[in-house]
Amino acid sequence: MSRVVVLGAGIAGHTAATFARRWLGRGDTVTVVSPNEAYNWIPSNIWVGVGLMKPAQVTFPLAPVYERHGIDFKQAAAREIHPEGDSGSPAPYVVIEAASGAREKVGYDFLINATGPRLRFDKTQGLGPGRNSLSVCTPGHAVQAAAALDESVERMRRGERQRFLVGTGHGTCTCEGAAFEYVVNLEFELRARKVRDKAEIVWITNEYELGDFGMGGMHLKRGGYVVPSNLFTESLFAERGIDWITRAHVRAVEKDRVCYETLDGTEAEQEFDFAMLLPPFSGVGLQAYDREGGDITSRLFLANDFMRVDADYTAKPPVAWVPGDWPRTYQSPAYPNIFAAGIAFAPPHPISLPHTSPNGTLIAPAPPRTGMPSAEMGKAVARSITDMIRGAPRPTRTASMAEMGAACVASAGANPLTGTAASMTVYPIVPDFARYPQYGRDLNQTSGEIGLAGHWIKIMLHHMFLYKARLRPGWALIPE
Amino acid sequence: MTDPDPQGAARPAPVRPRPADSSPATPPTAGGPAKVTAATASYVTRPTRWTVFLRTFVPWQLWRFARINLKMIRIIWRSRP
Repeated sequence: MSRVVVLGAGIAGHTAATFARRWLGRGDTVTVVSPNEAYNWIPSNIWVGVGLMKPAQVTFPLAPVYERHGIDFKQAAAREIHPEGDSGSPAPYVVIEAASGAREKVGYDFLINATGPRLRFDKTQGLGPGRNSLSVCTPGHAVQAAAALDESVERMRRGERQRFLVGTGHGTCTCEGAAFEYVVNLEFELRARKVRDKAEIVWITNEYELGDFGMGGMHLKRGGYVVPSNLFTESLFAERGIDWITRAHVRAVEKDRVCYETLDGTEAEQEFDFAMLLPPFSGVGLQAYDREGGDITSRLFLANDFMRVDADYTAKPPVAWVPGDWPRTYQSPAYPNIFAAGIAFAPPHPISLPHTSPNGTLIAPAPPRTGMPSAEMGKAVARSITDMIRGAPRPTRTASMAEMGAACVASAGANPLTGTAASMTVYPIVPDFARYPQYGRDLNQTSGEIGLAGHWIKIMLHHMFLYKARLRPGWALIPE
Repeated sequence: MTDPDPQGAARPAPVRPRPADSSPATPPTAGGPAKVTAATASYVTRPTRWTVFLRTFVPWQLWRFARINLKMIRIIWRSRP
């Protein structure tokens, strides 16, 4: 009998836990530890943030689903990993902490760290809900954003002008795609509520060019040319009257303005009435201890609290980056029975070129690793662990971001007849200039277009992935 | 053999047509851009009326729905370990 413990119940953790349960024998146990009682289909939070969906439409309680499928669920936050046990026993365990403060040891034979990110609003002064800006990172944050939007719309209906600022709240943010979806949905919603003429919308981003999305942008074949994706993003913004500020690091968010620095070292301010700015991420801050109680956190984690896996973390300039730097099995090099999946693993370096301002400020989008890649990682890790429990000496499945593609649908307005979305495919996610020397990606598999069909697909994916996550009949047949 | 400057080499040079005046329509420079105002950004590619029409023209979008789904299935299939 083997015990598999999964920390986190997001896309990577939930996928890993459900497939591990499906593939392992009844004598083996799968335990999920998550501080959240509900599963959240995060890609649809943007629709909660503009008031088109309620939180109940993007979440569901995890406990009944896990109970029905034989997965143990502990609603608690993971605090410590003891991969060598302690002086009393060499059996590895994690220490978890419930909301009440009660601590518990949970033993494991295999551990999957899929804890996702810690939202680092604290990295920028005044950033985040409860301070001076809004967020759509959680359903609760999105509800606050929707309420603030309603208030702004009421002001505009009374004749006031409102300035909306959307984007990234720090120079090292990731998930620019989610903020992009929010700004274009916001613009669409203001048109639908017939107050667009009273609104000024500004996009602020740490991307070097629009459409970078933390993966260095992409190139597309269009009209007999190979064109960079920033042309399409700029076009969409210009068409919709959205102004933009690129290469920006937000230093501080005050009550009615942000103070930011751009890559040339210029300090500037942008006023706003409504600001939705995403935070940078770090790992959740798990601590690790050896058998004697010595702190070995730095053996398992990088300084940003993301977990070390089978990546090449050697510091090297962008010119020396190769696809082989990226992890394939997500196994910890320190302890072969520990894996990390989704945002919890430490990427070896960014995908987009990092830049530093003359003041020494790093302005570099962090690599995206959510959605489809996260689920693929979770599934690969679950398969490897299942095979290792059955006797395989090492992980049997890989899911390198340098070897996998991604399909992404970015909503640009939600309406069954007038809505649109940008449908993108990219292969591979991490450019491979050895295989595709000119652009780093296979242009026959890399595509993008905007249209109503994309919105239909986005709606279809919303229902399909929630169906899958609820483990309804046939769930395993739905691809990641 | 890998490119000596992989990402840098692939990055497009900013050779888009510039407006005649020196308004904020100028594309971002290498140093750091000011705020770009959509209404005056005349260097930006814009869709034709026909392209905008097709984006929500249901018969065309039904075809694109099928086509995009096939593309995505192909990517998913190719990405399987």
